[in-house]
Amino acid sequence: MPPSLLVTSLVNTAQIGSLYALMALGITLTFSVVKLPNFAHAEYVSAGAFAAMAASLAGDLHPALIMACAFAAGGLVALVSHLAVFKPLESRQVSLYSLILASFAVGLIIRYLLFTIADSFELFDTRIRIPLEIVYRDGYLILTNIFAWVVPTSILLVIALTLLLNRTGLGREMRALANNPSLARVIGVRVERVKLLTWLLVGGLAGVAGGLWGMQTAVSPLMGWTAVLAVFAAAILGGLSSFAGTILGAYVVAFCEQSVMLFLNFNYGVDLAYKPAIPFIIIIAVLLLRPGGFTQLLKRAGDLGR
Amino acid sequence: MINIDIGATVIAILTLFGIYALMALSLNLEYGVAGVPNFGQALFVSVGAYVAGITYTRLLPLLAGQGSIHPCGPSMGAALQLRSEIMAAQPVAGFINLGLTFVIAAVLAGALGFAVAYVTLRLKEEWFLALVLLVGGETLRILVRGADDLICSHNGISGLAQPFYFVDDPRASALLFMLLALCLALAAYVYCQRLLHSPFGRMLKGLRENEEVTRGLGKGISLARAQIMLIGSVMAAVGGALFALNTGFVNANDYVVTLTVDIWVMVVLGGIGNNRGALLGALLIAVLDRGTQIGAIALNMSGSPIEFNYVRHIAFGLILLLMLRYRPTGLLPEPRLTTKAHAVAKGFVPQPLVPGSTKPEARTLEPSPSPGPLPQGIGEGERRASKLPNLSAPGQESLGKPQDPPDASDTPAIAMEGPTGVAPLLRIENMRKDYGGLRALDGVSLDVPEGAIIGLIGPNGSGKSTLLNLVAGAQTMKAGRIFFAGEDISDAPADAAYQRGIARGYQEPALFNKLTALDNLLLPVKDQRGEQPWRAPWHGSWQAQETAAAERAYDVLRRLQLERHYDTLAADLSGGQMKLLEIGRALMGEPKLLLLDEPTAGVAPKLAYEIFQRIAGLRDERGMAFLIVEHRLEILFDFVDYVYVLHLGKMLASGAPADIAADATVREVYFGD
Repeated sequence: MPPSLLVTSLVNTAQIGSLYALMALGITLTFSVVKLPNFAHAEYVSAGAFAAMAASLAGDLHPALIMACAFAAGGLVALVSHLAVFKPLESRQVSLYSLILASFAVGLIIRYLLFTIADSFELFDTRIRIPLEIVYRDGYLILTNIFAWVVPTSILLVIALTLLLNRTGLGREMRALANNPSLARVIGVRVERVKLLTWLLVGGLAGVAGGLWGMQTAVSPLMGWTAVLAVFAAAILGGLSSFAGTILGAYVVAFCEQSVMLFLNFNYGVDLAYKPAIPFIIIIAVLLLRPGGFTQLLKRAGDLGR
Repeated sequence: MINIDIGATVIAILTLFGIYALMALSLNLEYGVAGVPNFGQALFVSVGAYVAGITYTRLLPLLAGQGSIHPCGPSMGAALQLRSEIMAAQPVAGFINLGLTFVIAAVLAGALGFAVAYVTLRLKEEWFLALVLLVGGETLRILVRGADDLICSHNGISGLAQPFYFVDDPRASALLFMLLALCLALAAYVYCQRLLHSPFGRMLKGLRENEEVTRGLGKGISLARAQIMLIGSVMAAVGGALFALNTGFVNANDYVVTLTVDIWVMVVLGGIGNNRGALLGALLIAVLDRGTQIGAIALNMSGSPIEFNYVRHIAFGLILLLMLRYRPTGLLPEPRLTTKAHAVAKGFVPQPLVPGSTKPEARTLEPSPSPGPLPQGIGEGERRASKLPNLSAPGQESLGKPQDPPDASDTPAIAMEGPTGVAPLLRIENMRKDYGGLRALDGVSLDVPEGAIIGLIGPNGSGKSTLLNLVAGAQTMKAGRIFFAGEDISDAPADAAYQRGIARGYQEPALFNKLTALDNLLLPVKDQRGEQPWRAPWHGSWQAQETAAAERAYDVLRRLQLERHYDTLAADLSGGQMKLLEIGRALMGEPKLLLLDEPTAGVAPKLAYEIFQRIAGLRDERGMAFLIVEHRLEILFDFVDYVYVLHLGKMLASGAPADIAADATVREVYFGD
């Protein structure tokens, strides 16, 4: 495999992995704090991407402002899905499968609402309007302004989230809720408030991921759904309970999809169309062989937030 | 204005209904009855559809004695032409091809379903199963990419003619195909109904309600799950083959995700766990589907920019959410399960007694002859206690502080025979159990002789329930040995312990709430023929066994004075009745030893006393042994032969009830004196 391709694939790994990390952290957080494997999570990503696109089409906005729109849209959709669907169902103490089914239904509704919107305003296959520039070039290494946006923003957000969880009262309450819900309630954690903020945060991060993603590929109502299993693969690889594990999982999945796939394609002629099989293989293998994921390896990091 | 051909519309709706019914019945069997959340239903449906696609392009020309033309690419049109010519001129070849399609699809999908279920049994958390099945459904998209040559990749195969294509009148042809779909759906419905109302259905419902208890009653859960996935997958695949023939083409993009959601909508809408509900759901969605197609045409003609397909998906999502929130049972709630056994039990009700069991009955049914139970209880207790010290745990005096059990307790089974020559039924040696850093049991030893009622008491957290769990095989211990009837069962899991004759009751009654009292007793019966899915639909093969079991169950019910409630759902019984029924359920396995965890908790004093009277009665009649954890010492001491006192995971004392009641140390830790 020529070195130029290797370098490019590694750059892609960093870029895609950062996005996966933003999305997978949301899945880990929802699963830990709200105890829900949320299959509608991917649609918050699409919603964020559409909001970012709408903002970029509306005027000549600063990218930071566009990302704020994406955060707001993702967070809002997540909050609404919590208040309108998940909270009432939880209070009726329905089974976990009913909640999972409800998350599928929520995803379906958001996805096809976005289809309707995209259809009505002829927004299919539109990119978020940011002029593509090359900001760094050294031999095979070519970095675009999109890379310069995506990677640092993701890393900053992950750091901010980690600080929030470990250094603030809200973070402490979230960890308490993740650890032992009934005990958390007894010692005075404001459960409803913490859940609301968790949903806002989770949806917002997914929205930003969608906004950043929309800079590099065309925005489509299906974009979230096509990534959902890759993101679940990252979260499951990470063990669904630790931040460090989830982030590691995200980059590993991205690396397999970008670099390993390219390697297989070059040396063994494996069709690149099989790329989506990678998250499937990871999910099945981890669930069957090592259900603890990376958390088992990073024993000390087993606590949410580290 | 568009013209709607009402006759053709009805035929189209009913054909779709038959196809959807197969898929909905399949999911209802898997999720509604057995609790397997199949989020990959589309995979099994498309196995059927693709098999149809492949047989019609490859096998059919061979059957018709013609060379096959490659179905994809440039020769596509010619291949299509050839297919329709064969289907029009050679109906026999068409029917043979259809039959082979069904057989191949059923074998492939059944094997796939069985394999998926069997592989996923090791999963740690229950929702992982849902995720794995979802992944399974999505793999289809990828498999299709790799099979360009076979199924024309994303272009799919079109021009699949339905088997009655040769009939000249298009309406008659459609009508015949509709009848075929409806007949298959009817057969599937009858099969599902029979399966549900058989011992197999009873076991699956138990499994869905409480997996742990069902396993504890000696049922091979893993196999049952895999079997139900096999049956469900076969039905889904047959539905998929019909679906492909009905639409005329196979294309993976149509099946994945949205079809899975459609099938879930049918089941949730109609009623989870109700076969009629699945049919109703299938009918409603078929009507809606056809309706939206007509609506879409109308909408496009009226110039509306909105794609009707989007509206359909949003509507389906809303239906799911509204049903889950406001009517989670569906339009037709789950019916009460009444197996054939109820007819048997019904026959007994007017008769007070069954011949043959008159004598023991009379004794247990009447209240205890002596008004003051103390003399009898103590006399019994003393008589047995007199020979017990020999049998008590090694290294322990009959009443004294326990020393650390010596290593010499690691004795072979033969040495278990005490001076009296009677081996204890159950012997626990040096049992140790840790929960994280907490030592719950620390070198505990005890004996339960045959036919004895042994009490196990101690303050909360002293390790009593843990001890019962370890003996029953529900947990594993860190060190120590358990001997039962002379055999080492230290590592036996719950179902093996049950098969050897150790049954148990739980602290909170763990009954099957959605089953009747009678079915609660019938579920634990060992080696039921009707629990095998291939026998279950045919009553004849298990009727005799079920009748015999029902007679025995009714006998147990009467002994516990619950016979009038045989037809009552367990959830509707009173707290005391639940406790009794749980004892009865344990009795159905004809155990040699019954472990009971607070059999009188939450029961009125009078009934609590009666429960113990019935326990004593069972011991006298059947020679069973009991190990009972109980806090109501005033009642317990009247009935037990011997008492062990646990404190902080160690054996504090043991002895005859009267001695324990008088022991100062016990009083200190237990009564707080």
